[in-house]
Amino acid sequence: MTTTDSPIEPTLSVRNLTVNSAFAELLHGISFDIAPGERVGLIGESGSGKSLTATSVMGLLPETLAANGEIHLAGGHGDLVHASESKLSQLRGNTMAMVFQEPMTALNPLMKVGAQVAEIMTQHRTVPSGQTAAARAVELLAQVKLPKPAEAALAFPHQLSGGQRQRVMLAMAMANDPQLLLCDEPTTALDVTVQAEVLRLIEGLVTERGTSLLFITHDIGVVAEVCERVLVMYKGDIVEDGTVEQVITNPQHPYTKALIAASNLSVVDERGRLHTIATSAITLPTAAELAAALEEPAAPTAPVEPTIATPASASTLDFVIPHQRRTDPDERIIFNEIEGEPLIRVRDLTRQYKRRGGGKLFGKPPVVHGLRGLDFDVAKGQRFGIVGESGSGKSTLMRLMCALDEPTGGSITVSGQELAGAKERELRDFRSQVQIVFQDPMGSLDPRMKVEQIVAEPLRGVSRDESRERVIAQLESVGLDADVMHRHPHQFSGGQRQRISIARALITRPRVLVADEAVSALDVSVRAQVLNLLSDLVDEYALTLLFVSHDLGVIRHACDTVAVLSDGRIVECGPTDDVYDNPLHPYTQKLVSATPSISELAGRARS
Amino acid sequence: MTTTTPAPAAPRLRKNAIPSGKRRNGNLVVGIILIGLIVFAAVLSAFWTPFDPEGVFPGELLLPPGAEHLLGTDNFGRDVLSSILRGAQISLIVGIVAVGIAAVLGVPFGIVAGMNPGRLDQFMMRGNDILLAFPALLLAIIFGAVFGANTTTAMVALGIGSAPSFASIARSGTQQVMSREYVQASKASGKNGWFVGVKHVLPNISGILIVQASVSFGIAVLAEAALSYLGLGTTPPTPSWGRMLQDAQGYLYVQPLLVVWPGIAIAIAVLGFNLLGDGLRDRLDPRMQVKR
Repeated sequence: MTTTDSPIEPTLSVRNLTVNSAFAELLHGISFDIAPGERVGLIGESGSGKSLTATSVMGLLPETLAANGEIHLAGGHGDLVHASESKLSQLRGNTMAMVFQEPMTALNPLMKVGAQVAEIMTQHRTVPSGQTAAARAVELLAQVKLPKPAEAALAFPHQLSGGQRQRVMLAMAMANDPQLLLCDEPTTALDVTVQAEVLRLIEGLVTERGTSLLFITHDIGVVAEVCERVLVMYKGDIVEDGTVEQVITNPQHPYTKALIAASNLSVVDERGRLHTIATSAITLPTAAELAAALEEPAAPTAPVEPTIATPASASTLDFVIPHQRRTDPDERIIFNEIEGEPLIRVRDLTRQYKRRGGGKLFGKPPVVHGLRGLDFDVAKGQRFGIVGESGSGKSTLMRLMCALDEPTGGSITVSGQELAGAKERELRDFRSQVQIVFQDPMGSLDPRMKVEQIVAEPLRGVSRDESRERVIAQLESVGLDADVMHRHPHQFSGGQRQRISIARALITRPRVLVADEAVSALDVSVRAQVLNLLSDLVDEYALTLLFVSHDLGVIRHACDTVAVLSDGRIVECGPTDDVYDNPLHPYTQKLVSATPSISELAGRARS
Repeated sequence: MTTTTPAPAAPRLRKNAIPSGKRRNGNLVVGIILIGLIVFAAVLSAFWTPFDPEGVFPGELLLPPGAEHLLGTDNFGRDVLSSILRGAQISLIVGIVAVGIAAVLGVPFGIVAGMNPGRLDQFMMRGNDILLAFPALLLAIIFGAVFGANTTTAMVALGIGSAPSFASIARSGTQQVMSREYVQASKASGKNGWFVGVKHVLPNISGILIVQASVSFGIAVLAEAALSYLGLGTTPPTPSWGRMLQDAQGYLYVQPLLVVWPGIAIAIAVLGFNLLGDGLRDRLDPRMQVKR
C-alpha cells in the first residue's frame, strides 16, 4: 500500500497489521502512515475492519482476537502490537487518545466531568498537583467551547447534552496533548447541527496543536469536512488511499466508486433510482467478487414497470404543495392544507408529558411539551417527510400517528377515523391500514420468531396456507427468497432485516406507511437499496408515505413534501426541493447548511 | 528480539482465547450427566435397592463402608447407599413441584404487572414485595405447623415462597421486552395484550426464567433438606437426604462419613441443576446458535 517515505518520522506507522479471530482473518495485513499533524479519515462500512484498526492501535482488542504485524508511534515506544499492558496504559490517554461514538457510555455517570478530565492528567502525572489538574480541566473545557466551563466542570454527564458530552470526551482526549488522536464515529450519535459544530471543533483543536488525527466514520461527507487524506477500507483491506479531493472526484477502486455513488442521495440514474453498490459495480471487472462479497441481494434491478420510474421527487399529486413558514411562534398555521377530505388530518395536536420525580411531593408535576399544537394535512398518495433533530417531537408525532400513544389535546383523523380518545376496538380497521417500519433493524424483529411468523403477524383470520402464500409473495416483493422464512432474524444483515420489516408492514395492504428513521441505521450502500425499494413499493401499492427522519438528504430523496419540526412545532413546510434549495425559516437554513452534502464536496474538498 | 529479524511473532492470543461455544456446551453436558445420575437413582430405587432402605438391621449399626454395605450403615443399621438412592425421589419431586408452583404463580403475575405500567403494576408489585419479605423457609414452618409436617406441605410452601422472585424477574424482563420495537410493531398492527404476552414477551424472557428455575430448583432441594433436618419435611421412615444429615449429626464423632454421603448427593443435585439451567438458556436462544 502507499507509504509516504518522508524524512520526518511518521506519528503512526502501521505495517502489515493482521487481526485474527478463531474463525477467520478480519484484517488482511494493512499498512499505512500518518504524518505529524496530518488528518486522516478511515471510511468503510460496518464489518470492514475500521474500528478493529483503531482498537489494535490502542491495544484494546478483545481477548478473543489476535493481532499481528507492527504498529509504531513516533518517539521510539517500540512495537505496540507486542507491547506489555503496562507499557500500553502509559501511552493511552497520554501519547495517543481516543474519542468514542457514544459519549454517554464512555463517561462515568457517577463522576463530575471536571474530575474525569482532571483524572487523565493526574493518572499520567503530567501536572504537578491535583489543584493544577482541576484548574487545567476547566481550561480544557473552555477550549472545547463548553458554555460556563467552571460550572460545567461540576456537572454530571447526564446533566449535559449529547454534543456537550462529546466535547467533554474531546477535552479528556486532548488533556495530555497527545501526538495522535483517534476518533471512532464521534458524531454519529449527534444531531446534524451539533455534528457540524463538533467537527469544526475537532478540526480546530488538532490543527492548533499539530496533533495527528485518525478519524473513523462511515460517512464520506464527514470525512471531507475534517480530513485531508482518506483511507477506504473494504473487507479488511485498505483499497484506496489518497487526498479527499482525489478520492471524491476521481476514485480509483471500484468499491470506492460505488461507495461515493451510493452516498450521493441527490444523484439518481435515468430511472430515478439511487446508485447502489451492486448496480454501480456491475460493469466493472471485480463485479463478481463484489457481488459475492456483498451478501445483500441487489434491489430488483430489472425495470419493474417503466411507468413507475419517475424520480421520486417529481410529485404525482394533482395539486400544488404550498411552501409555508412560521414567523410568529404562537401563530396558528395549517400546513399543507387540503380541500375536502384529506387522508390524514391533524388539528391542534398537543402532547404533554408529566415529568416524573420533578416538582414537590404533593404539587402538580412539571409538564414537558412534546408537541405544541400541530396542524397539517396529508393527501392520499403524498410522500410526506417530517424532519427534525432529537427533542423536536418527531418520534412523539410518529407514535401518535400510529395510535401507540394518546394525545393530550387536538385531533388526528386518518381516513375519517378519529384517533384521539378512540378505543382499541374502534381502531381495528385503522390498524390494518397504517403500518410502521422502525429504525433499528435489530430491535424491530422478535429474535425468537422465525421470519414467517414475523411477516405473518399483522394478518388476521387467515388460514395457514394462505398466510404462507402471502408471506412468500411479500418476501419476494422486497427482494428476499421464499426460503428465508424458516430462519431467525439474527441470521440476516441489517439491510435484509429492514426488508423483512417492510414486508411485515405491507402484508396487510395498508394505505399509509409510516417510516421512522427507516434507513438511519444502515450502511450507505444498503441505505440506497432500501430507499429504492421503499420508493418502488410506495408506487406499486399506491401508499401514502410518512417518513420521519433527522436526515435531510434521505427525506429529500424519499418525499415530495417536507415539514420541518422544531421544538414541538412545524416551522416550515413545502415541496422538498423548494425547502431544500430555498429554506425560509432560520432553523431550516441552519439545518440545511449543517448537512454535509456530497455533491458540493468535490468543490469544497481541501487538498 | 525486536530489532534482529522479523521473528515469527506469536499471535497475541491470551489464555481464554478459545471460542466460548465449547464451554457453554460443556455446562449443558455436565449438567445433564449430574441430573441424569439423580434421575437414574430415583428411578432405579423405585424397583431395586441393595437393601430395603427402611429395613433396620440391629446387628449392623454404624458400619464403615465395606464390601457388603458400600457406603456403610447408619445408627439403625440401615444401608446408606439404599437410603441415598431412595432419597433422590423425594428431592426430585420436591424440586419439580416447588419450582412448578412458583413459576405458574409468579410468571403470569410478573408479566401482567410488567405489561401494565402505572397503578396496576405498583399495586401488584407492592403485594409481591410483602410476600418477598417473607422467607420461604418460614412460610414452610408455618404451613407445617398448620397443615401438619409432611412432604406435600413442604413442597407447596416452598413453591408459594419462591413465587415472588419469579414474579420480580418476569416483570423486569417484561418491561425490557415491552420497550422493544417489535412489540410496538405488534401493537401497531392491532395485536392485543394477550398475544403480545404469549408470543413476544414469554419467549423472550424464557432465558432468564430458566436460569431462575434452575437456581430455585437447587434452593428447593436444599430447603427440603433443611426442613427435613428440622423435622418439618419428609416424615420418617421415608428416606430423605436432609433427614439423613440430621440423623448423622448425632454420630459425627463415631461415623463422620454418614454426613458426607447425603452432603455429596445434595451438592450434585444443586450443581447439576445450575449447570443444566445455564446450558439450557444458551441452547434455547436462537441467537446463540449462529456459529457452530
